[in-house]
Amino acid sequence: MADERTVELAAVTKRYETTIAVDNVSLRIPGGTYCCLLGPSGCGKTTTLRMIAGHETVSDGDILIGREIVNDLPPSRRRTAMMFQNYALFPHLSALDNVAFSLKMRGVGKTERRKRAYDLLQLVRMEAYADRLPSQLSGGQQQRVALARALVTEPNVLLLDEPLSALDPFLRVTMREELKRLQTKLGITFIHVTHSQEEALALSDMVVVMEGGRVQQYGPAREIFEAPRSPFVARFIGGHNVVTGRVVAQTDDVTVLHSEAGEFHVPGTAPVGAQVAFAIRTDKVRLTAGADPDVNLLRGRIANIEYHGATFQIRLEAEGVDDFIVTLPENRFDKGELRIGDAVAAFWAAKDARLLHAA
Amino acid sequence: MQPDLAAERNPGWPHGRLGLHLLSMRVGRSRVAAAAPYLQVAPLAAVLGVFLVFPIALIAVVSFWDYTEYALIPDFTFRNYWELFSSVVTYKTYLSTLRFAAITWAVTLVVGFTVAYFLAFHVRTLKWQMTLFLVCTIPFWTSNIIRMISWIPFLGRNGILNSTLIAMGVIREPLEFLLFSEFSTVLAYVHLYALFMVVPIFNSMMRIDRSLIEAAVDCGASGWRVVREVVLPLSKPGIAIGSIFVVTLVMGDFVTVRLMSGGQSTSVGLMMANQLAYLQYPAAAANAIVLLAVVLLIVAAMMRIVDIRKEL
Repeated sequence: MADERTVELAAVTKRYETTIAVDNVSLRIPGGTYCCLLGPSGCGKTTTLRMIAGHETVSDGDILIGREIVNDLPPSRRRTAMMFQNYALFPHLSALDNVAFSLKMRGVGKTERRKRAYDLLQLVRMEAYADRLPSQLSGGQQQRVALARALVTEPNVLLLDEPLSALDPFLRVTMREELKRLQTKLGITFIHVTHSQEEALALSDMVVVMEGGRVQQYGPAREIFEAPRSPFVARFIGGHNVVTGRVVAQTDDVTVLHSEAGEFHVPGTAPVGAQVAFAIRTDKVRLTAGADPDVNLLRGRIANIEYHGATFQIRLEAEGVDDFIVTLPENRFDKGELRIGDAVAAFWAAKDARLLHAA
Repeated sequence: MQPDLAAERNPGWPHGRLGLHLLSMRVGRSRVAAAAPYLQVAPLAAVLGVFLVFPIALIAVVSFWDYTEYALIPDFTFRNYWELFSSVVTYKTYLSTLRFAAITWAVTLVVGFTVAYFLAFHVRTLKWQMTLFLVCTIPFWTSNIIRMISWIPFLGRNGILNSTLIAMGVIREPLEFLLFSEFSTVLAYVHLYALFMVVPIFNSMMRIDRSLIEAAVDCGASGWRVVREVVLPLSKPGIAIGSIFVVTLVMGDFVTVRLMSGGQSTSVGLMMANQLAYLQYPAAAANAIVLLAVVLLIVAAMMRIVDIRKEL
């Protein structure tokens, strides 16, 4: 059973006349995983999803669902179901008939399909709105109906194309929980396309970060956040500062970097003389008015202070780095009196920095 | 009610002598404000009144007049309606007209839907859609009469089609039904009015969200079922508008029937034209009122089936 829900991409490529939308992507999504394809717009994540769904042909490579190569199968025979970005509910059909549509296409009798559609509406808590037309439903309600419509054929894989982007922030959080609840309950594979790193981190068992048609990194959400491998991933996933420098020395397990911003010690190895980048999480950085160790110290001026509730976010302007963000908990922020324009120094423990590989 | 009380309740209101003066000014201004919407609709109402309501009212009035071979006699008589409804010819003519309308409607619907579907869903770029759409309108660049008459040398006894078929050895004798027949009449109608079906259906189809088609395919619908279950229901408003055009045009037509049927068929319009030729204006007027009622009933029936307001 678990086998049938596995999705595997083997060197999948999508070429259009002049551009390559998806470039040689290989990926294995185990059955029953909540997987998020994360990336900026135009990174190929939606095209990848549409190829898995069968709405886009594969130029090269193979897509496997279970043990079967599905490249040439029509969408309905892949045992996948897609939830569209704008929900794509049929405007002339009631919520119930929308959900029952797939069953009608499969020749299920009227009473039977209405009963099963009603059960699905119950699953998404929309049974009270069974007779409403889509135009009489709110965005969140339409989404629940779309979800029920996708699930009614008992697919092995559910494909969601930016399902939460049309909702207001509050509803987004509620629906996020709902999606997770359904996925856990049904135990099927969810592949969810999003450009929101927050959404991806909150939902996924597995995050796939894509850029320029390629997979940059994939793995469990925590691994992606705690150990981004490239500057792109570190920047895109958020909560990281990326600093570049030249390797001047290499001792045991510590790389010494030199840049305009200062001298930094980073765990890991890199060839001396190479230009490398490292990431440091914004919440691992502290501020000081002027400290003794000259290592891992970044001097700059406070360019902006934002209040984020439990934390304060301070943006520094410093030589040799684009933007350097420091996230301070409320209580720490309150201790020092910080103002925009103040000269400060940021410092961190060497073990918290993480060497990045060029993308 | 005491004035002070009013002032207390609504301190913004002016009171006293000056207040009374201000109040009357305010009433004056509010009268203008109240009239504003009527003033705004007045121009359109005037145009419709002069060019639509007045002529129809005139026809209605004349339909109750009496007439002789050489004069119209203002009167209030039901003679015209009586003569109309007591003649078998009337019913035959209406039936024949309705038949033409029904056949033309069915053919233009099939043609119009197919053309619109091809344009909207199979032509990929907007540029080509618009180009082909304009190509569809080319017949409209010449007059109806010319377009009809040009069929005659093509379909005639010794016309292009017959001589070609004979030359190819498909037939020995020329086909007689091609011209001056019901066939040629319907053909001309379809030729004249198919575009009136294409345009509104195309318009409806262009509004269909393409992701709906994909969603239907995702739900397992085959190409044919996508059309049947999604495209057709969502094109209904366009179909209704096109149907109204075609049916009303055919119901009121007399030139096409006269030219293309070779005197073998008749229509309500032709009947009226003949009455006018004999200066029987009141009889023609009565006929016009009845035709108007019939067409309005047909349109009302269509509107009951499909809600076209969404489209307007």
